Amino acid sequence: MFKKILIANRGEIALRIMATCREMGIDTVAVYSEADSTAAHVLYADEAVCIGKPEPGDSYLNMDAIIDAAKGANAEAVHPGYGFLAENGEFADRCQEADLVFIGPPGTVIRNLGDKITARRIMERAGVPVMPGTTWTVRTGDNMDEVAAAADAIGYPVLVKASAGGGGKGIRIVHEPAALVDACMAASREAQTAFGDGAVYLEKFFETARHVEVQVLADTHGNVVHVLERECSIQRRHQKIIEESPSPAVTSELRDRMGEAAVAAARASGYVNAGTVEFLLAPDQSFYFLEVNTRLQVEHPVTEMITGLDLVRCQLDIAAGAQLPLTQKDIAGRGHAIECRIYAEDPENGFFPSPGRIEVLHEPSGPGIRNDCGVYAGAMVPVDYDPIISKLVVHAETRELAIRRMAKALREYVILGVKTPIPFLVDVMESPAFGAGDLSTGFIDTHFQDWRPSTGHRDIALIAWVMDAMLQKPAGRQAETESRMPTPWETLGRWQL
Amino acid sequence: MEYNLTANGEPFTVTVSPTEGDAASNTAEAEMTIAGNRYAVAATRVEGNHLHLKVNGRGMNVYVGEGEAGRTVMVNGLMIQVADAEDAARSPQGKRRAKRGPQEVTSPTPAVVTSVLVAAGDRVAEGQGVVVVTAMKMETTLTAPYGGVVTAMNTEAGANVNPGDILVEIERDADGNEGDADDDGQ
Repeated sequence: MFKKILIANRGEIALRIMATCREMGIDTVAVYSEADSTAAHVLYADEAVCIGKPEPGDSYLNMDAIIDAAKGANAEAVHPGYGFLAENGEFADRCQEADLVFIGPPGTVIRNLGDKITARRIMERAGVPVMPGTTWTVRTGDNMDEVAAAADAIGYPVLVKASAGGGGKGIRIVHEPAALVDACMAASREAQTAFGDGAVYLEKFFETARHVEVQVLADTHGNVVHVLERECSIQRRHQKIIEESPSPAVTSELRDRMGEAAVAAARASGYVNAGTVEFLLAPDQSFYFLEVNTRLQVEHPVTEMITGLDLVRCQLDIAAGAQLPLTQKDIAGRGHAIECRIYAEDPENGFFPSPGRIEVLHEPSGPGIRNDCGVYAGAMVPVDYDPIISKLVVHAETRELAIRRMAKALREYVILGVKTPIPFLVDVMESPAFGAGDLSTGFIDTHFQDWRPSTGHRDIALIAWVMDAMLQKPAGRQAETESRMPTPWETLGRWQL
Repeated sequence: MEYNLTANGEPFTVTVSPTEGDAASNTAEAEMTIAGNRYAVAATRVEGNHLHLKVNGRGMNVYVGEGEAGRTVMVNGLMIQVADAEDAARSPQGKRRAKRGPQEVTSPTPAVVTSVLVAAGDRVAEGQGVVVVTAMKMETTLTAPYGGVVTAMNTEAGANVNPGDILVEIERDADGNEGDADDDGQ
C-alpha cells in the first residue's frame, strides 16, 4: 500500500478521501489555490502545497503544478476526487508518465467514456441499451438545418448536452424547434467555459424519467462487480441534490438486470477502479445508458451506508494492485440511505450560488447521521469554485425512517452567513410526493416550482431578535473580552500536581 | 416597549415587557405579544450566536447571525430575516422586498458578465433577458423587471460585477403601475 498520496482536489471530497487515508496510515498531501490557504482540507492534511492563483485553470486544473507538487512531496499516487481533473485522460496519462499512480481508470478509458459519442458506440456493441440521440456533435457555426432535422427525428423534447460534460453544465432542454439554435449556442458556450470544449450533442428527453445509476468496482485482475444502485432523480439546474439507495422504483429483478448491464459496460470499456454507470429509467421500467462517470461520485456515501463498504478504501486497494476482496454474491444492501447536498445557494432564487463567509456552523449528529463537511465556522465559500458545503447522509432501517431521520438532521443543521437549501430540503423530505417515492427528474418543477419558505416560526424568530438585542453585552465590555486572549493559567481552573 | 420589526419582509409589532435580565449570567426574561399571541419568554445566551429560548415553557435552540438588513435567525431548519422596520426600509434589499420582486437589473452574487443582450435605446418587455452572467460556471440570464426603454448599459462582456451594481437602466413605460402589487401573504 502507498505511504503517501496527493489529493488533487479541495473541499469536502478532499477531506473525505483524507479521512480514509488517515485510517489506513497513508500520509496525505493537499494542494490549494491562493483563495484556499486556510481552507479545511489544507488544515487537515499532513502536508499542503500552494499550486497557484484562485482561477481553477491556474490551480486545481493546473497539471504541471499538481504533478510537481506530488513529486516534490514524494507522493506515490494521486487521487483526483470528483470534478476538476478527475475525468481528464491526459492528467491520468501525465501522472503515469511521472511515475505516479493515478487512482482511477487508465487515461484511454477516461477518454473513451468521457467522449459521450465513443461511449455510446462501446455500449451499443456490448448490448447495453442506449438513448435515442445523435452520434455526432454540434459546434457553434455548424449547419443548423442538419441539427434541426436530427432533433425532429429524435422527437421533441430533446436534450442538448455537452459532449465533455458533467455536473449539470452545458445542458439545455428544448421543447420546440424554434428554441433549438439558441439552446445549442448557450449549451456550447457554457461547455466551452466549463470544460474547454464546446461540442454538444442531442438526446431524447423523457419528461418523467428517473435517474438511476449503478456503482461498479473493477480491479486490475479482470474482476468486476456492481455495488447496487442509487436513485438520483431529484435535481435542480440539472445537478443532483437528493440521492438515495436503494431506489424505490427498482425491484430485485430489475436490480439484477441493471447491475448486469453496468458490469457489461465496465467490461466492454476496459474499466478499472470505482466508476458509476448512469441510466435513465423510464416509467415502463425500460432503462437506457446515459454515461459512465469515471471517478468517485459525490453521492457515493449512500452506497457506503447500505453496504458497509468504504469506496475510497476500495479505490486505494485497487490502485495498489489488490484483487477485489468480494464477489457479486457477497454484496447486499441493508436498510435505506439518503443524501442531501448542502450547497451555498439560494433556493428562493433559482438555487443561484451564494458564496461568502460561514458565520455559524453546527453540524447535526446522532444515530445514523453522517455529514461529510468541507468548511468550518469562519471559513470562506469562495466564488471561484463549486459552492458545495457538505453532503448530509442518513441511514435507517426503512425508507420512511430514513426520511424522518433526514428531516430531523436538516432541522438541526445550522449554517449562517451564506444561504443554503436546508429549508427547501426539509419541505421536500416532509412532502407526500417524496414520501410516496414518486420521483422523476422533473420532481422539483412539478412539486416545488416557485417554492417559498414556510411562514412557520416567524414569531419565534421575532422573539429571538428581541432576546438577542436584550442580551447584547455593553459595547465596552465586549471589546475588552474579545481583544485579549486569556492565559492558560486563567482558564485552567482548579488543578493539582 | 414596542419594536416595529419585519420578518422576511412582512411587518410585525412586538410588544415587550422585560421582567428580568442579568447580563453577567447571560439570561433574560420577558413577556411579549405578537399579533395577539402572548408569549412568556426566558432566554440564555449559550455562546456567541446561540440562544436557548423557553417560550411558554417549551425549550428550543435558535441561532442569530448577520442578515441582509438586520439579522438572520435560524430556527428548526428555517432561515428567517428579521430587521428593525426602519433599517429594513432604508436598505436596498428591504426596499426591493417591500415592492415584491427585483426592481433593478443586478447580479444576485459576484459574477462575470458573459454577454449583453440589449443596448441603450432598445425597448424591452418585462421578463426579457438583458444581461447574461456566469458565477461558479453557471450561466444565468438577468431579466428586465418591467417593460420600458433602456437608457443606459453600465456593463460589458467580461466585466466583474457585484450585487447592487445596476447593470442596466430602464425607463419604465408610463402605463405600468409602480409595482406595488398587493401583498398576497402565503
